[in-house]
Amino acid sequence: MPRPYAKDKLFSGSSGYRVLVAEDSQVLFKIIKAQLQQLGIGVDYADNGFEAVRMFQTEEVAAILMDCQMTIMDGYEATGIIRALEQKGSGHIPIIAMRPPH
Amino acid sequence: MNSRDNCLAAGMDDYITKPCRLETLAQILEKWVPGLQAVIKLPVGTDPLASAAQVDAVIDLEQLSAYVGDDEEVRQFVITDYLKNSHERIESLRQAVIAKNGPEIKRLAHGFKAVNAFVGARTMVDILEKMEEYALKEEFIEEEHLLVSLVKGHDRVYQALVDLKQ
Repeated sequence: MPRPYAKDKLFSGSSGYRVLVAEDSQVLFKIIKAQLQQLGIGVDYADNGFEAVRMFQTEEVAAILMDCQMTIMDGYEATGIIRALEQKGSGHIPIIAMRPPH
Repeated sequence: MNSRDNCLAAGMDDYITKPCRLETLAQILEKWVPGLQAVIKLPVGTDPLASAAQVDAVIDLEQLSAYVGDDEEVRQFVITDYLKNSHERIESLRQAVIAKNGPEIKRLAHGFKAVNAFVGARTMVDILEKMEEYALKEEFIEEEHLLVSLVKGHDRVYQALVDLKQ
């Protein structure tokens, strides 16, 4: 399956900070990416929770914006795994949930 | 347990409702990422009060900008996506109203509402909100009236977006 946004991750942003966006809707991702870029924040992209966990382990990001309802692995489960992985070290990455209205 | 509690119980630190405004996104990231506030740049000219004054416009351009920023490529993407799918979304809603399928009306109205919020089509958002309400109450006569308003509103929004599209 093509993943058109995986490759353009290396916009690091004028702020020097990067954020991982885990979101399976391309429309929503494209909007939030544009918002982050306007703020001068770099963007990494995962289109499911499994990918988000993998990228948390390989990429250095300042925070994760996590969609709650994704296919393959949802945001709750991905967060649980990331928190479990953190138990081995001392870090705590901020994870901010993105919820639909209501 | 509501979804806010679910998020916090799962180990998340905070939450936003999407779509969210640029300022909200900036504020929440500043709150959680140490040192970010000093280097972040919030574009000028996205005053939420300015957009509140334009309730009567078919397309609230201020609101469109507040969500997607001033990136023309993203604007065109959102507009193209709306134009491509809106007729089909309305037709699905119509079928659900004919079938008196409350849960389906609610689901479709909810999804279409978010898309209309993106493009700043406030009248459409209001109508779809009411459709969601009446779907829960199973008031299908009201749904039929709202559907008529929705189709009329959609014609105007569609035309306005065609004009905005390059």
